[in-house]
Amino acid sequence: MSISFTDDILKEAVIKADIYEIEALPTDDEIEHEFSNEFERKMKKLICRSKTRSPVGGMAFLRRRAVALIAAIIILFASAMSVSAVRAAVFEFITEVYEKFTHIFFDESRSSQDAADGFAIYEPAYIPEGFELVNKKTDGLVLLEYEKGDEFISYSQQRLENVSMNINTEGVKLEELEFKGLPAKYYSNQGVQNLLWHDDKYTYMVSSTLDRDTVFKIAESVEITGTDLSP
Amino acid sequence: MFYVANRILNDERLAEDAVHQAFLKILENFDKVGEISCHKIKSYVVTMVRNNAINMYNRRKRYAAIPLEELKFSIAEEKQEQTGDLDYLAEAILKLPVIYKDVLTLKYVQEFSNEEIAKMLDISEATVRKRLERAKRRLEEILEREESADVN
Repeated sequence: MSISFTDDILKEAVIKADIYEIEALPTDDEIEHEFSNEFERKMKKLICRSKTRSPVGGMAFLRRRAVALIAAIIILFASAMSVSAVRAAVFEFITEVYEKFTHIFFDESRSSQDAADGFAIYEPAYIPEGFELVNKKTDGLVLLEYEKGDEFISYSQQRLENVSMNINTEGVKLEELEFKGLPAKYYSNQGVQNLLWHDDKYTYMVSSTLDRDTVFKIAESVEITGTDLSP
Repeated sequence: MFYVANRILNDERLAEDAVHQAFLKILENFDKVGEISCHKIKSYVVTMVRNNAINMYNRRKRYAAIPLEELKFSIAEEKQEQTGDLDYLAEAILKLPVIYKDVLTLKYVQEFSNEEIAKMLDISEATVRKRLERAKRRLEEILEREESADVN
């Protein structure tokens, strides 16, 4: 007998198969591999390159997508670089300023237990009126995106361990400050305001086309909303 | 990502290269990638890493034990409870050789055009069309085989 399926059914099945496969990928803890120094060097260089690229066209839509993509790549990269179960409890921002970008990473200053106690989910309680949540991810990291016309708000939260990021700060001032009693950095670039801060477990970032005060107001409202206990 | 590449190449150094090259390609296609919604990013990156690993595998194919057209990559366990045709079809997709599964993913999950897929995978548009056709044919064959097995 002949078995056939429509394009729509095939599309649904491909999406389903893709979900099965992504869900079946082992966690970082299950993969015992120490990346070579050469690989780490090449990947850091690549991330530097990605951060110094300007989004095409300067449209808010593309700026938002670029922020989301870079956040996703940093998260994936951070996962790829995770080689040890023992992590540090206290991290310090280390900043290296280059000609076109600023490299931020965290210095581990004392060891503690690993992150097996779940991922505490923090989300902003305040989002300005009229903004619609267009993307949400809360498993193992938090990534929220809101849109209102050409304006966007992006919030991300991820574990500190092995996080290393480069931000395009060419021609802009990277401001160091204290936020909620925690070390923070603020910078404005290409019409996007960014606030980055961290506690002893997570790094948080609010990026938006809205003004500085609103970005701080959103960041101020970030509070714990749950815990993801999945491995 | 490393795991995905190493499953195909079975060589840690080459797998690292495949991961690095995939990210290079993602950067080259930045304008296209920027339009992928966040929840599809991981799937896209996995597909690109896998494709780079396949290309490396292909370059070494004269030493490879399995022809590229038959190279499988399935890490998802078969579902114990299949609730309908869609589940059967999804299971069949997981059994496809990777070169067919990847074009299906880029076409239907990421919703890229044939031209965009060709650029990302470094193949011609004709090859993309051919792989999509063959993927569908292979799926029908898999489903027919399984149906026969169920009857028997």
